[in-house]
Amino acid sequence: MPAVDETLDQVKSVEKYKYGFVTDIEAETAPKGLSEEIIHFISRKKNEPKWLLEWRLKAFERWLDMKEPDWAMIGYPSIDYQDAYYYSAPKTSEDGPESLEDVDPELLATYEKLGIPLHEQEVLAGVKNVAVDAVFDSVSVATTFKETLAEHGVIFCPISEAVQSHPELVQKYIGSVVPVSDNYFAALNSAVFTDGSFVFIPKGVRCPMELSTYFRINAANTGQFERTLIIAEDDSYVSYLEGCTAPMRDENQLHAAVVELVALENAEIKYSTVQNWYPGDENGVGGIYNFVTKRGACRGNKSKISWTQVETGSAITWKYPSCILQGDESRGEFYSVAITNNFQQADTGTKMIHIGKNTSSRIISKGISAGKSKSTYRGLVSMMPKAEKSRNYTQCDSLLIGSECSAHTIPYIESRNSSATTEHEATTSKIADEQLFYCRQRGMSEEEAVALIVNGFCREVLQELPMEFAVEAQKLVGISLEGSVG
Amino acid sequence: MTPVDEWLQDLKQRGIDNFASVGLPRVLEEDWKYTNIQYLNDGEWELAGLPSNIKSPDWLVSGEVIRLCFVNGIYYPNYSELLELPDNNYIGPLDKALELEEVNVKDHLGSLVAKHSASITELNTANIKDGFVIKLSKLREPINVEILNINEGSDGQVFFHPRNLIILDSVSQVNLVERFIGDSNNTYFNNSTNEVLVQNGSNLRLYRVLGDGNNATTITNTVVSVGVESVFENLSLSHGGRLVRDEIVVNLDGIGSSAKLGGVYLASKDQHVDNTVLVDHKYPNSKSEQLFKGALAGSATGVFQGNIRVGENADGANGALTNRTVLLSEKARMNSKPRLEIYADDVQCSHGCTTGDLDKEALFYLRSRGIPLAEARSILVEGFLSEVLEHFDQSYITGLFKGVFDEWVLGV
Repeated sequence: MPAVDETLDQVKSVEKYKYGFVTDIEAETAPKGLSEEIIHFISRKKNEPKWLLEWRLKAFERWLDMKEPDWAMIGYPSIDYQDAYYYSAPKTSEDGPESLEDVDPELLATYEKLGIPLHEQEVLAGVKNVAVDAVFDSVSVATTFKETLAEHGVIFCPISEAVQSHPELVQKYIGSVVPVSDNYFAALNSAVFTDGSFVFIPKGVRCPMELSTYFRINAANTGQFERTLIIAEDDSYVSYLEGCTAPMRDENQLHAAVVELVALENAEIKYSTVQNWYPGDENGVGGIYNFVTKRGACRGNKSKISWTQVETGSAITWKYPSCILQGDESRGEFYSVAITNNFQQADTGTKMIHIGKNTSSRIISKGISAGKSKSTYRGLVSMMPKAEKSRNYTQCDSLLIGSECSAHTIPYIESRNSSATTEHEATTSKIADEQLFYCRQRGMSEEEAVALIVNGFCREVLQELPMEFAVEAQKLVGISLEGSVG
Repeated sequence: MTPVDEWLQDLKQRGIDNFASVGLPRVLEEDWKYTNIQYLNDGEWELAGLPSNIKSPDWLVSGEVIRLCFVNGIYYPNYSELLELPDNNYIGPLDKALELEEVNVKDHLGSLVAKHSASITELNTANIKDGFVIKLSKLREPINVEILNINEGSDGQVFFHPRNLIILDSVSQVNLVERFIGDSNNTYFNNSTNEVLVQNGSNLRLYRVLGDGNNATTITNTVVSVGVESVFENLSLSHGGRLVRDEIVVNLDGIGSSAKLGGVYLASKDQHVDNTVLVDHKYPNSKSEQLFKGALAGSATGVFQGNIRVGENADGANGALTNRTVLLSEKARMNSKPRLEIYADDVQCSHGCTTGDLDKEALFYLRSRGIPLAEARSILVEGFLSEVLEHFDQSYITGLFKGVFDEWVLGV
């Protein structure tokens, strides 16, 4: 049975959180705390135009008036927003590296260790056909394959660079999907975002390779606030993947990102996330607080946005990737696996807002809780009055491993159009004793058996990932559940 | 003042104080997200009195049955028929129960709702006046009870707050029909609260028909505690009133306890109908089933909030929840929020929820056989809703449903 062997191999290769190392590198940081001066400092550092600074300040002003949301089923000590650094960048001689040769070897070694090759020749040798934007703390350190992509007219660069080179595009789209005052964390991000990726696919272009951003938090006491903006013009296609890791530290670190996607007529954006921030240790000490706002707008007719996420890391995950289906016959998809172990808490799900006619959406969510963790699916499906003949199908399954964890499902279904159809199904159960017994009988250890069953449970979602990452994600599933049985 | 009077006075005072501090629920509260009753703050409300002429009751249940009639929330003995019961058992109005030491209302009234304190039940507590009490123990024979609430309202805005207490202990069985009927166009607010204790192998089957008048606001709260090996069943049929909120909280407080909840809701014009249910599994091997189906026409709004909670100790819990709604007109809308909250691992829980139009193919099938559109739709809707009734075997309910449904379909 090759499939079983494969899984067993993967389980054997399981290590504890192997990305927990710290890179010893000299960094330039802004003074601690959050104030207008810090925002001026960031904006100056990035040499930003005036409109962007004003936009940031407006967001900051709104943020000061807002309250931290408390409706999610997560608990954490209150965050002191003044006790963190909002800007940290590896020191470089010049303003920024011109080419890979200029990049600090220490940084290249870090990404090497993380399994993200930044050398293009290595990539060409057939390891992975993926263009990577590597973001280290607050700045992007390298972007590969820029030239190859430019030949096709694709723009793939750090957003701070796009502000300089394509200000009209950035100004037109930034904040158009997630307004500055959308929510507490989005407002905070708008005020202090430092870097992130910018992707623009022109009309009629099918992006020739997978695009990927790799986020790494390295410095201590630093928050990471990245902002990603992807625009797919008419008849274009792009597949984008983000990965994230952080060192093991005893303090909690804040990560508040905003991702905006815009799909115009007949365009398709596939956005995949493998989130593996440091989850904290088995006693719940340390870990990343992950408060993320992700939203895509299907503006054009027949456009499509698909979110796939594998959430294994973070002490706290608060994340609801959404689709606004404005164009007629547009389509939104959400595939999610959220695994929590030890003291992790995840409150995640999606929103599908059907506005146009004949729009459709599909939600498949798999939650797995082990240890003393808590996992919640929270989702909204809304059929607006003009969403004639629109359809939604939702399936949320939760698996419980151990008696001290909990799993919750909180869907909101609002239908204002009689010709629209919504369907929702959810189940919660544990791994059946018979299944475990069957595997154990065939000589598998309990841990191997659980990993096998869990992989089967999430297969529907994992198969939506780009191939290169599906294998990685399967391994992660095993790692995340380590120590949850026996 | 007797000690019981003093106790009641204290209880009401607590209700007044608690309600005054929070007021009516707002849409910002999660449980009231989709139902806005702030309009009740407009104008003054007075406690209702008896109307000048009271129409004679049409009873649903025949045979040996205990009947209690309330008019505008006030006990109306002329139409009620009580029966002799063995010692220590009581079925009758609240005020008489308060006088009887063996019924011991004091120990129970207010104790269940206190655990699920909601401002609307505090308002009820503040105005306790009339209601019924059922207290049975060791009566193996099933007892039939029918409660008829004739709600007429009167000129001006009036409200009433029926407060009922049901205690079934040691293998008692009751089939209880509770009906609210209202034919007038008067503006009134019916805020009824039931406290129910079913324990030690007892069984309560509760059938409720909410059919208040066109301009009425009906809010009912039923808080239930189900003990060891006991069963609570509830079937609600909701069709009247301008705004209806039917809230049921069931605590499965014993090993092997179970609850079966069903609901059918019909709404048209600008009616608003809200079914809110919480089933809390607190003990091992408890079981619950929920099936709510409805049809919405005109510009009616439907709300369903269902929650299954399984506590840490409730291993072996089994919970299922289904909500299905058909929208029969363009402007009808439905908000549904089925929740699962699971803190134990050895459980089987599921929920399903759908909203949509009638099946086009089924409609075509009927029409191709010469059945006019309106009739075809009516057949399909009736078939769709009848599934709920099939789970509950009481012949008079099916008959009543048929009557209510046929009348409703004519108006749509």
